[in-house]
Amino acid sequence: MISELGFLFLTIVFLVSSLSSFELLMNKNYPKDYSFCQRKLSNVLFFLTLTCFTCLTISFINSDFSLNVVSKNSNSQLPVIYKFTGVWGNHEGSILLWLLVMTFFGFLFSKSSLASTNFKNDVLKIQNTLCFLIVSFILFTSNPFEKTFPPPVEGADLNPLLQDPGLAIHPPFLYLGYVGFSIIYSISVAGLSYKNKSLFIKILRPWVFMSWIFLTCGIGLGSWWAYYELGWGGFWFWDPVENASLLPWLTASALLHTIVIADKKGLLINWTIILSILTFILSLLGTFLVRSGVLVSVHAFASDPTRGVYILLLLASISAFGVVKYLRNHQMIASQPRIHLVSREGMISLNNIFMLSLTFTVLLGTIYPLFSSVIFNSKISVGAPFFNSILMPVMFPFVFGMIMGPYVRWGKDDLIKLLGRLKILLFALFLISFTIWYVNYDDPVLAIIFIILGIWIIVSSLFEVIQYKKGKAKISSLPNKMIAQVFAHIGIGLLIIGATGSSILKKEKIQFQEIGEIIKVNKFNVQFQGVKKVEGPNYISQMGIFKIFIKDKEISILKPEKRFYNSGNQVTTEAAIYSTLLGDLYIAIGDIHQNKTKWTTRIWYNPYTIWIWVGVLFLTIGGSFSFFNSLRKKR
Amino acid sequence: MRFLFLIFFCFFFFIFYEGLKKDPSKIPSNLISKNIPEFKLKSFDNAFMTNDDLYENEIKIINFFASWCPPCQVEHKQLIHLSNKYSVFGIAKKNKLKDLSSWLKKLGNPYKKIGMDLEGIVSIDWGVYGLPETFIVDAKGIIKYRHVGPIMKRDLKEIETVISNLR
Repeated sequence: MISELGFLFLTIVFLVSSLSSFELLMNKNYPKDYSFCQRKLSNVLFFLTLTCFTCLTISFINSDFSLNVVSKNSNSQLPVIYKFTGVWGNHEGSILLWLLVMTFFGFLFSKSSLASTNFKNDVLKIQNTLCFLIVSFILFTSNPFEKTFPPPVEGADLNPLLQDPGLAIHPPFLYLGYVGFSIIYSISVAGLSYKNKSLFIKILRPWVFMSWIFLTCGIGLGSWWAYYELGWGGFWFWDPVENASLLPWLTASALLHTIVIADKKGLLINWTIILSILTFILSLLGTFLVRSGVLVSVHAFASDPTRGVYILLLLASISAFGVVKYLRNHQMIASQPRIHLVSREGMISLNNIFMLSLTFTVLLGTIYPLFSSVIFNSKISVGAPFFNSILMPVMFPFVFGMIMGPYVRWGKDDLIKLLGRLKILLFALFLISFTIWYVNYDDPVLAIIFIILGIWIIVSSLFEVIQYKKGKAKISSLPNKMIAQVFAHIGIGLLIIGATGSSILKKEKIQFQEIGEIIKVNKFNVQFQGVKKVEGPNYISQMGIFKIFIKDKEISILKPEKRFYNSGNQVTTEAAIYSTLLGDLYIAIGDIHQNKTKWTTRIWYNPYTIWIWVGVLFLTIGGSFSFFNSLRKKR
Repeated sequence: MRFLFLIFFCFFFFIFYEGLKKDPSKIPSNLISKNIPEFKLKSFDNAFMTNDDLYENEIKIINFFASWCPPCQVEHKQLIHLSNKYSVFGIAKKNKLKDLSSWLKKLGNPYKKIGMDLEGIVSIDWGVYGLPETFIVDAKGIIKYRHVGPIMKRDLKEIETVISNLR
């Protein structure tokens, strides 16, 4: 009954949103009096989709196995929280969540106070049409309310890897980011024919920050989950799906730098619009790569060629619409004055150039296997070595830009004077680098260089605060935008240090470990105490017990697990981690040796890994300051 | 400018569209046209099986399997069919001797010799990531062909052509 209701609401969403797309297509020769009130339509769409999503959620919680999706991705033994998160742990449900978020952003925008009614209608016309495209995708290729007959007695269970709190919140955040770019796309495309460009930028600004914050959180949560759940000891694998989320993040990061110039100086407005459109296109491209199964990835969703074709058409039509609109209207924006290289604008433009080249190279690496398979008919895979080696050289100018950028004045600055202003900072940086080099003399050169770069960013950001404080007494008088920038830049610095530690400096030991045997990793002595069987709600687990000593003092007991899920015979690894500020001790347990007294154990020491997550937190805090700042400016 | 965009656009569309028709999981083995990796295993008949066993002067089929793997049961009929014409060797991955012998008693034994890969290390050397997998090795001990997944009836023709081309 509930599922039928859900399907009914989905059909109504389809019909209502088709009105918007109809109006968009008939754009020119449509009398004003007959045009729909798009604001009301978008409110209706949001509440209908919300009901529809609730219906699916109820079906999941009640374990209604007559629904195909539920029977394949849920199980009556499953804890309620995972029944709930199972709603988006599959293709159909996750696309419905996508639609929900999309309509939600339309709804929020309709309530935004700044835009004029006409402009709101123009934006929502596009946004609702996007919803129409997605809902028709759902209805025709991935209907979550599809029945299965006869209904099975028991469901097949949610993929055990997904039965984890980290994963439960990772996709919604990622979607809030990904799909948030849809409203940016709609605003930008509508804004192309909007006269008041400075107002348009002010309307756009908070949405950019909001989506960026969510995407940053989503990516951060995803990599955190991969770190402790997959048991591979890493946090980023350059998997096509990870790259797909990184691409829009890079262009969005470029966008939130340019939008500052566009807002303050009225420059680079064209470029801001291009970036907005590009960011959403890249989000869709990511979706296409993930859901169509054209690339091999750890994020294996059931692939279906008809779905692939549909998403491709969606991608093609949305990007074509954006590009055509842009090419038609971009001359309307007045030609711009020149930007000096040594100026804040110049530095931000440089940042954009690097961000975009990075985006392009990551994109190339991600889809190259597809190219070579189609054009040369040869299978190749592009892995971490490629990405790492292209990332490294780009980091240098990038970091220098981040250090100098905030100190350069708007308009035009003088390089000599700039260096004069920074002589204390430069001297401090030199001294710090020398000390780090001296203390870590034995480490690989590359690691030392990157850690120094990370610390440079942090020190120069703090120096900025100190310099500002010299003039004024109180720390609370710092402007929001400066706090935002300092936080975000420190976040990047921490990220560089954490990533360097957990990739270049990581130490790994894999062995057959006997019960009672002690393995020494870095300063930790890891003693294996044996394995015991533990029963969870829907799995049986082999839990290894490890005592951790520093010298002879016991500091912790770690319990990595290998879980065997009752249904589907799937096995997951739960790594156990002992985190310290200097590094993580990371243990995963494998199979028993045939002589029954030894187990395969994998022990890593990952230096500075915790700073990756702290870095992401800093980035989010920085983003939030910018977001609230842009909201306050509106009033 | 617009023309350039159009070409660019169509090019990407074409690549992605064509890409949809291909299956990315079909990856050829790195071992193709290389010598078989060295190994030494206990065999099912309580002796040893080494790579030297596979250098005999004939074309061989090497099948990685296990009694606990349901798809292996699916391909078993086809293996018995192949064993009537060619010599088939088996490598059982992480399989208990007792389970294996009752399994073979039930389904029949197509294998000339079975190596017991108890820790799965030989399977890793051969790049086997799922069971079953089957390799064809020529008379000189060079790997010529790899089949991932169970050998179904429809695959028999391809395997037989590969072998007849080698002769």
